[in-house]
Amino acid sequence: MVEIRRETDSLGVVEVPADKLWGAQTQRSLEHFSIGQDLIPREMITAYATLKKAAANANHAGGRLDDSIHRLIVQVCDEILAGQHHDMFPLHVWMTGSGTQFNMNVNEVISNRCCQLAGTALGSKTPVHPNDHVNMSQSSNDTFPSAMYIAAAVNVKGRLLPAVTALGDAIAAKAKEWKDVVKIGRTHMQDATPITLGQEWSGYAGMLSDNIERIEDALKGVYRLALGGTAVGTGINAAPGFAEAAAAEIAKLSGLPFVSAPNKFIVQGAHDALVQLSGTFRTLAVSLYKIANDVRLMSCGPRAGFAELQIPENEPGSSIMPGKVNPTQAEALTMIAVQVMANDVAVGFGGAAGYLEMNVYKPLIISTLRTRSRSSATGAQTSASSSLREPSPI
Amino acid sequence: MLVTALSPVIGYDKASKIAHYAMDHDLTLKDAALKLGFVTDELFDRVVDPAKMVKPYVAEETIR
Repeated sequence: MVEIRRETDSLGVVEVPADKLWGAQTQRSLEHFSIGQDLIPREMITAYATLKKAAANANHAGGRLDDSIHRLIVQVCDEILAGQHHDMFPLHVWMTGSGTQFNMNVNEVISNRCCQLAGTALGSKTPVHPNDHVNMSQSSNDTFPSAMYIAAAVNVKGRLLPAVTALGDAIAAKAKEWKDVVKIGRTHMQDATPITLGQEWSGYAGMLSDNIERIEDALKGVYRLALGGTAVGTGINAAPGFAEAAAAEIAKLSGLPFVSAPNKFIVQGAHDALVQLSGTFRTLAVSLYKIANDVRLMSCGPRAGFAELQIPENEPGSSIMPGKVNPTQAEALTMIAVQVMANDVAVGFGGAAGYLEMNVYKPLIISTLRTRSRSSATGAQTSASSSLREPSPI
Repeated sequence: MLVTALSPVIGYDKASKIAHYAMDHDLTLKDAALKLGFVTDELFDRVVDPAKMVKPYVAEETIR
């Protein structure tokens, strides 16, 4: 028998497992929307902790939040940023399109952890109230998109771009190494004039550096945050200056150049910046597909094919044919690329679904973007560290 | 959702009670707010002003 605790929200009393820090609204979402296995991306937890800390700092600086409440909220956000309490965010992707209950999950966990620190009862909402204090000057409608943008930018800068850069560097090194290896060029897959292997691979390196440029360009839109727009972009219940102060705090905490979006209606009614970012992921996927495909063409053989590149033996290639070596790294990478291209369609539909003042496909957009950038990054990383670094001309 | 403007004054929970009470009893928000005794007539009119609600605006705060 699980011990329970009574939590309340504006609809009444809800029973919550006693050892959990979440409250009534999180529990309601769990009961109504435990759909499938996919949870809200874990990157959203830290993005939200950054945002809540920034908002508390801005509210405190603006004289709206008392010292003691501010100190408690910041302490709990720091705990979350340090990796604690992440198991207190159990909600699934397929929930409200605004992500409201995830925002409330964050508000409830912070409020209840503050209760623990202050020695008050869980669920008492005292001294720190989930709506009045943790959510002060905020709405789910501006915080969830802001957290999405923070999570996307942090992930792209910290994970995807370094992986693509490493792959590009590995390919550029091969281009240099093979600059004098003359081979046959092909157009229409038929014999054409000579080319060096280095020239061919310099094209691949250039494709990747072009992709990095495209992604960096797309991030410029992602740095513009909705926070401070509150419910519909007007800023009701946020003090003048809060939006700018909070965005500056987020920039300081994340080390990335976030700013307050000059027009909140753009970034709450639509998420075009994430659609654009997704488009650059798709272009990267297209490039990686072509590069990986060329590797498998050039390596086909080794005795009865092009046999221009020798690929590394990652594993025995066949259960029946001894000695077989297959371009498995290229196969994994091209499958990821196909998934990325397919998911871009989902992000496009999600982005198009901004009805009037608010887009209501937010969890879909961030979970799809996150899956893609993570697998692209990992795919590029493993490619850099194995097959694309290893092939050698025969 | 005009009651949103009252949250900084009386707190989210009481503002929410006004919204639910008004719906349940088919009252205007103002009548519900007065009936529940959370605000005065004059305070309600001053705070819940649509023209003030279209920009960054925090009504006279008592919730800290």
